[in-house]
Amino acid sequence: MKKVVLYILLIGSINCFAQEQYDLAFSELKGMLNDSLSISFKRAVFVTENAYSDNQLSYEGFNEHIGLLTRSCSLISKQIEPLYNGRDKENVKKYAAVFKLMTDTLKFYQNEKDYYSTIPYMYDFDDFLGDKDWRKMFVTKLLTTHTGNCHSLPFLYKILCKELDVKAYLAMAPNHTYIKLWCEKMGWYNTELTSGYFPIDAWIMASGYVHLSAVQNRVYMDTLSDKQSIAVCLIDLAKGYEKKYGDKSNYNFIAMCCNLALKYYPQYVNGLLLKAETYKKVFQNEMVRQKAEYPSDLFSSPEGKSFFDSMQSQYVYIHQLGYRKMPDEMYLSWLTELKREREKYVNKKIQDLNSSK
Amino acid sequence: MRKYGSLFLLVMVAMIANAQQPFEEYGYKVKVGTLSKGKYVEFFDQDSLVEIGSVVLNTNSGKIVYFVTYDTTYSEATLQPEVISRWLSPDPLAGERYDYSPYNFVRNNPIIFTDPTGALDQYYGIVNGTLTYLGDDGQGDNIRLVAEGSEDQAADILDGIALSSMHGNGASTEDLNTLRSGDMSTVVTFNESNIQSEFQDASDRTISSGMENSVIITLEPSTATVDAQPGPTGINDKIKFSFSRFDGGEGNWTDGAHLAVGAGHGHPLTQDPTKVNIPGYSIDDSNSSKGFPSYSIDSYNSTVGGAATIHQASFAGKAGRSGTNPVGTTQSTNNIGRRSFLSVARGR
Repeated sequence: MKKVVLYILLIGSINCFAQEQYDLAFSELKGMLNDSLSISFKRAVFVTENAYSDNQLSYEGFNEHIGLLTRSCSLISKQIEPLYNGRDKENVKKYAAVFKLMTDTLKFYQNEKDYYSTIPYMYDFDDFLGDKDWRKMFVTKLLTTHTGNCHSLPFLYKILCKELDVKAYLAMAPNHTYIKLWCEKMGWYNTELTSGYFPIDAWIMASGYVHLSAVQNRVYMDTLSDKQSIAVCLIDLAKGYEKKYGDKSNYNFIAMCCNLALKYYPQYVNGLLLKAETYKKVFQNEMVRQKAEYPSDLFSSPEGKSFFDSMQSQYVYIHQLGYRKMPDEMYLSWLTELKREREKYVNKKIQDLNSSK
Repeated sequence: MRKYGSLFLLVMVAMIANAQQPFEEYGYKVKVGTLSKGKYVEFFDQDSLVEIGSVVLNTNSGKIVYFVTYDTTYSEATLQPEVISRWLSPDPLAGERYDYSPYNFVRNNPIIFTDPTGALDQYYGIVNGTLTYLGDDGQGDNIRLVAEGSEDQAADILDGIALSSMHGNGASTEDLNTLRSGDMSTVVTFNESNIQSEFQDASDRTISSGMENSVIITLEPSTATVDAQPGPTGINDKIKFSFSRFDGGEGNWTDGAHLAVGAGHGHPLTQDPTKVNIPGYSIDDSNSSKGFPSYSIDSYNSTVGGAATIHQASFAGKAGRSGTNPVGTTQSTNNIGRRSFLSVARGR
């Protein structure tokens, strides 16, 4: 294993360049994971997005925005009087308040005349995978535009719940993140913020192409601990880094993020995939450098062979965990469905007004 | 590598087709209980080759079989704006261009072909049934019209010329000579001095009558000569006439032998504010020149192209040459015939 790391270092060092923001973000997330800093998911999300944005975001501004939303949620939770009467009624009221704030249009009256209103956070159908612009994944983007995706919406929900001092858990599904909550009388239930409904586990399995092994191995549909949520941010950091620098990426940094994240969240399939794919890129670059036609051409050196084997075993492990690539047909029909859904979500009246001016 | 890739894809497709009927390959079609009633694929196949990230793994041996090379796949679900301009169905007229892909647009050569109607592509220029303008023949400044019936042959040669200018090889010298031979094409001649005097005449008639008088620039197809002849007379502020145009547009001016490639008319000195015969060219002139070269003459004194300026409203019907940059300052730079013919023939 030491040899393998050395191999990455050698290749990675070719592409070393200034990446101060990423190093700062990495060390902060690392501090949260090894208990030298207190864990704050809000802060972790912010530093991840700030690193991508070249330190152009303000934590004070971000905090202020979250603070305003938190106060709004407290106001809502005082107004809500649910039929639910468990001992954890106060918590449920807070869950409901955050959900209401994120999915409903609300007016807050300061007196009989003056009020401020909030509008729901909608799903952004445009480039929801962040292929063209990675910032589409960001909570800061969600806050400013009121549109987000299955990454930023549950993140905001979790942040707000933490501010309100109730527990909300992220849960993973293939290419998807959602929220799992617990209450005394109902047990675990799922909250889906992209569409504002509450899917049952069976639906998530069926619609998401979730293999049973993946559930058994806690790859998908399991709650994430606080540290695991930070590990998710760490992988986001690495992915954003890769998006930002492309071929010029220092693969050593990405591998470092993956290794640290996987230490705390070993079955995080996105982290495993990113690590394996990074190894593959390093290997392919080495193939190009040595003008090799086949991978086996590099096996003559022990480093090359052990590196390839290490990469191979990572892919095998991912498969054993229960990861299955969604069939193309299913993925495409899912995409087309999204496009159709978009028709429903776009407010035609406002659209017509805009186009006629 | 790629061969195996497509083979794998085929296998995958076959698997997916049976995905919801796992026992079909053993000859049983049974009722399968699903959670989504078939809306989602819920069956996980036992294929030993699986794609993970960008590699294909053999799950039995635990070995990487190959790296996936992503060819960009096009489907209506994933279309990006830059590929939307591709055809998704074969050209119904593909048989006419059987040596090209049925999905091609203007034979993959938007430089020399155009296809405004969506029917068959044609040379960048105008076809009116009998004559095809084929542009410069690459020999000096000659412009040629191809003789009736030899369009296809000329097109092949010109294809070669276009290739040679792009890639350095293409049409042979013999081919070019064939194209330039008298049988196949005719060099277009421009009788610029006569055109100039007809413009002068129209201006003089406008000055003496106070009515707008016109001149029509014509093409005589059999000799490929561009010339001019007097056109109809209008009233003080307007003149209205149309042509049997070179480009096949509709019109009522024709003497049976000529095709119009442009027109000019005088604006008398009467500058009544209610009239539109203002110096330069009017809005009406601009509008009527859409798709057709139109010139207006400031018929205020005797010399056209000198003090009496000729203005051209542009082909697109908007800004034209006027003011400090009129077309008719001197005869040598006028070349009104050539200018008109080219703008009609090139369609711009």
